[in-house]
Amino acid sequence: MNIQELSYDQAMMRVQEIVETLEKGEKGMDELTALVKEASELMKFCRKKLRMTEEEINQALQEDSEN
Amino acid sequence: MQEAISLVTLNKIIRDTLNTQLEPSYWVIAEIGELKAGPNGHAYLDLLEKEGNQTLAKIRGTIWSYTYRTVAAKFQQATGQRLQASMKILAWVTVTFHEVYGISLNIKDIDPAFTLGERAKQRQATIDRLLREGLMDLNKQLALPSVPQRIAVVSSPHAAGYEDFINQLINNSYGYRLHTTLFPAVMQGAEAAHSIRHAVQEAVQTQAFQAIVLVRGGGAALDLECFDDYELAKVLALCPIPVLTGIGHERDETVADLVAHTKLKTPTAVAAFLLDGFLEFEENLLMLHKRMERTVFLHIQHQGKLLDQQELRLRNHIRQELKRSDQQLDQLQHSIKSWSGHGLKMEKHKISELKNSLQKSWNRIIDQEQKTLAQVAKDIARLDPQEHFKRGYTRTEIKGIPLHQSKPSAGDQMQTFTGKQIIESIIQKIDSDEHTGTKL
Repeated sequence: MNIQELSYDQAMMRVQEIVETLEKGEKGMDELTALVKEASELMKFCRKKLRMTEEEINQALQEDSEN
Repeated sequence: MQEAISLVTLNKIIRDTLNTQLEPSYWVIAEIGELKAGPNGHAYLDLLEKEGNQTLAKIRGTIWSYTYRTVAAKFQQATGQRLQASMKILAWVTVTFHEVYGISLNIKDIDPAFTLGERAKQRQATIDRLLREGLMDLNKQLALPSVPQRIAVVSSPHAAGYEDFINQLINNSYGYRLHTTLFPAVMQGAEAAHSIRHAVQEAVQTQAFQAIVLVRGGGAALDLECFDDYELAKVLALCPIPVLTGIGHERDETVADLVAHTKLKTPTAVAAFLLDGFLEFEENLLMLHKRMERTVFLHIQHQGKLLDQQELRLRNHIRQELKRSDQQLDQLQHSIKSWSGHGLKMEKHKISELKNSLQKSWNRIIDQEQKTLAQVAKDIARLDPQEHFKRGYTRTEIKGIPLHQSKPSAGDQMQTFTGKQIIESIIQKIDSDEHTGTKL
């Protein structure tokens, strides 16, 4: 899954889903770590994107497509 | 042939006829065709009556400057609009005829209530049509993203409202970035509806925006009729992205407001609404972050406890195992000790028993052998020839062979042993009588 292609609403839904999964407490430590990492990255990206200029967004997307 | 008259005479006749035949004044319903304010303060206009696009009647009209100032101000105050073309009015008029300028209407008053009523009727008809065509709630059904970051703004670049909107968005205290593109439109007057429609369609065509914002310049002069336009309302309703309005008025909603996804009163209110969405989104993120942190903390704490418990269990288990092994060793040691004492005793007992058993067997064998020997001795004694001789039996041999094993014949010499004597004899005769022979 490419974070940068997600809309804010999709990202929010995913984060919500992860937090709810974590709260159920059914995951082992390894899975938990991976989920926390994913949610953290999503949150970080969203908060950064809220403050990105259009050029920065385009640049980020371009860099991503080049990789 | 009728006598010819001069044009002046004719025009005088017309004027006299009109003066005598017409009422001094009329209340007339008409649409303003064209309205021009002259440099002298007078207003010159055309009054029309139309059916569709067809003009059924047309006449020039004038409002003298003094009247115009009063009537226009009253009209604007009541309707929120300036007198302008395409507007339907109820005017109090006097028909005048001038020999040079011809016939015209002198407007002495205009009833704003009629125009308001007409507009309300028109507006209601538009609303009814939009409802009938299912357009009224179409745009409201679209999902407005929580964070619409790419926004098309339809407005006039010089409008105060546009500037307010942009300033509020750009200088937000949270540092949020919204990317706006202006699609310029005329926001008032007869051209406004068409111009706005065109700008909205252009914005839609780029397919680059998440929302369209329709903001209007505020200001003193209110001119909202264009926002009740059916065609504009239809374009907004059919717009594939949410439309937000900030038309800047306090009175009843315009039709554009009614069909829009979200209606806000002013351009700054639209900016605040958008920023609120950003803020709410970020607050939700922070809340989720806190929830996640708390959950992870609890989980780690729980895992730590579980580990502690496991460690404790493991320690106890090892301790018990050690204890058990120790006990086993003790037992084994004890067993070895006790076994070695007891075992020796047992072996001794076994040996002694074996010894007894051997002794018994030995005695039995000796006894048996002795008995056998005694019997043998008896048998030997019984077989002794001397014993036979004693009882009167003798032994006879012919040429050293016992008689019963030889074939005696008459004349043979026999030796007979008696135990004490050996008797020599010669056989005279042999009877073949077995009994006799046997008896011998």
